Amino acid sequence: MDRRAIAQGLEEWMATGYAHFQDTGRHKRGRHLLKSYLVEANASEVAEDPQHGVRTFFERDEFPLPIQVALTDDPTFHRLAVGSDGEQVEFFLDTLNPRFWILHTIARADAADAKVRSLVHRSRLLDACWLPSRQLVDWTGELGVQRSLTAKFSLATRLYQEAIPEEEFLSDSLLLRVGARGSVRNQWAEYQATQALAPYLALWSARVARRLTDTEITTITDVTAAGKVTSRGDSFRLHEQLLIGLLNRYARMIEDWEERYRLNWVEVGPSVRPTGTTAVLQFPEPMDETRFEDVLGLMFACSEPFRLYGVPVRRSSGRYVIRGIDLHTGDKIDFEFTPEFIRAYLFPSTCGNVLARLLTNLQHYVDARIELA
Amino acid sequence: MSEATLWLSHRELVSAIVSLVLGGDGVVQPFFRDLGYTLNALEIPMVDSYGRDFTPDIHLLKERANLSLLVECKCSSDNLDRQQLEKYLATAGDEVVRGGRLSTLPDPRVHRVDALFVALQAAVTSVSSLIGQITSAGPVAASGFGVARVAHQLIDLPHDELSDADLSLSLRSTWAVDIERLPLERLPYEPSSPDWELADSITRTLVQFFVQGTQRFDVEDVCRESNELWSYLGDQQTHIRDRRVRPMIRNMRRTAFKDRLRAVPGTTAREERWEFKGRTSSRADAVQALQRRARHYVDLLRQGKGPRPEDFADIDQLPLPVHLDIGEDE
Repeated sequence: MDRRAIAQGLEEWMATGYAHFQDTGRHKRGRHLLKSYLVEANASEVAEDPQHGVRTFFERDEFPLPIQVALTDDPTFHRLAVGSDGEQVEFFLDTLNPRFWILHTIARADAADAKVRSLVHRSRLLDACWLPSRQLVDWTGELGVQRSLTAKFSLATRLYQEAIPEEEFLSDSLLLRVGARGSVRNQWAEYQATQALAPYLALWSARVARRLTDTEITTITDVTAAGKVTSRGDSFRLHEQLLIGLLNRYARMIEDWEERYRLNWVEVGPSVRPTGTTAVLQFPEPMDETRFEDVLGLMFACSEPFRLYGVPVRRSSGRYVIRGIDLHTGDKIDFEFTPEFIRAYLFPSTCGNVLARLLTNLQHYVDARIELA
Repeated sequence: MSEATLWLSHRELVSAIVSLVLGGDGVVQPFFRDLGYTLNALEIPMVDSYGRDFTPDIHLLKERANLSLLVECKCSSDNLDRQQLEKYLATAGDEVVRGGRLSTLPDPRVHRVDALFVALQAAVTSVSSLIGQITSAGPVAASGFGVARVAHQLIDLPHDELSDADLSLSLRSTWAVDIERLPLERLPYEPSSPDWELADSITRTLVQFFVQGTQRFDVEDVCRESNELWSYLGDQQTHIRDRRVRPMIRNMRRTAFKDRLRAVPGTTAREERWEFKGRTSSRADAVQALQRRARHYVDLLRQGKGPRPEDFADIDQLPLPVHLDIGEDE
């Protein structure tokens, strides 16, 4: 089995399922949609030896689940069986990009979500790809026609969780889906310009339609802000094209942020010179004191969604300094926190994915208009 | 505009000036860079024309003008050292070309050097007075010099004998800068940092070890991990390691981290290595427990109290604020 055979198998799976859906108006029982998860991996062994490095990587102690790795004839494609007998979920793992991986599966959504969530949450070596709102709007708009956009704000859902029970709603929660027969982009922009809605319009998922050039072959794909991509339609190629488009854009963004925002030191004889720029996350308007303290408490609670450790120390004039740790990776990251902005100080080894996770979650829990200055 | 006196630590003031050279994060206008200055080095060892060694806080270079600017930051009038300021004024181009390792200048033999003393309000008068005494005693080797005053919302130039006319003109018309919105945390703790600041960095390092699964560590591990410039601290390493960091970890082991940390028996009588008692973890509840202890420890030091074991007896029951208040009264 190689990359071509896997693609062919997934194409047939999609086409058969879609034909049944078109004939009956229902999904065939047990014929689950193709789902792909974009995942950021910190796996030097995979970069060095893609074929055998994947097995070495998953043999590390810190993975919380039993994982069986099977080789294929393609060194950058593996089959993974994640979980114990009876609850195993099978994935195809694409490590062509050794840092930004794709996990494909045709398993049931809740089972697959749970396994990927477990891998991502309970290992320091894997993280979801976090798509901030502006990037998710722009990139999905570039890759297809946006049929619907779903905003979610202040809803403490689990990673990849799609159903949101009413009891999860808080006093400032918002769940809003905007749809259109054509592109929904203009409608979204109008809503964003509405003062009452703008702070809450953090984009959680985008539904995108794509058609293969000069054919009637189409797919409808849902892309979430945590990097889960689910397609219905009859073309794996279209699904894959969208995935590659997202993955490459995301990889460029993270690598660009790391180049710009990692603070380092260059030796000058017996002395040093600092390099790099701090990253400023700008609030659209200054926060009042109560809100400011609430956000500080939320950010440094050592728990989801931010998973940041730190002791906020108030200096003067509403400036707080926090020597932080990203509990997901264990990397150091310092902050200055003011009513107008958060400034992040990345260390030379701090993963740029931290910034993406921070920005995305600030948009989903604090204000959807927060941007990297 | 705040009427209160601006208070910054030396570390923060150096960081503020560095950000006016580097700019870049959307909040900062890089005034020095706009005038053609680039950052050559921080804390760079030099000698003056008489062979006396000193260490300018910041060395800026304006290559197109064949000019260096040596910057000394002063936060208070306490412990001002006349001889230190003399050395700045007794330094000419040759010394800076050598000390700064400047090898790309068009003509290093005519390199000029200005000295700029950047002072908070609390130090301006004393610094200017000392400069006056030094210059009235005889000629200076530097091409020019000045005293810049840093206030909450501006930087100006109360004493101007700079040779760089552009910098002189620009600073005399004042720079509108909200100092406390500049990146003030680019530099790690320094030998003069207060105990609570050192404790904040050390507790973070211990928690980082805990999260990353580093079960055992020694004092050098903590020093290196808590200060990115550790290897450049030279002679000051021994003092910081043996007089400040080691005693602080010992104290933490008996107080904040009593139930979390123990000493590993070593070859010498003094504590060299420590280990976490239980399994290390990144679980939220485990890290939150350490966070409570670290917060209380830093808070006690901030209040000028030496942390004692009894201060942590009921640590899990203590109602703690979200943040620690470090006011302007330091």
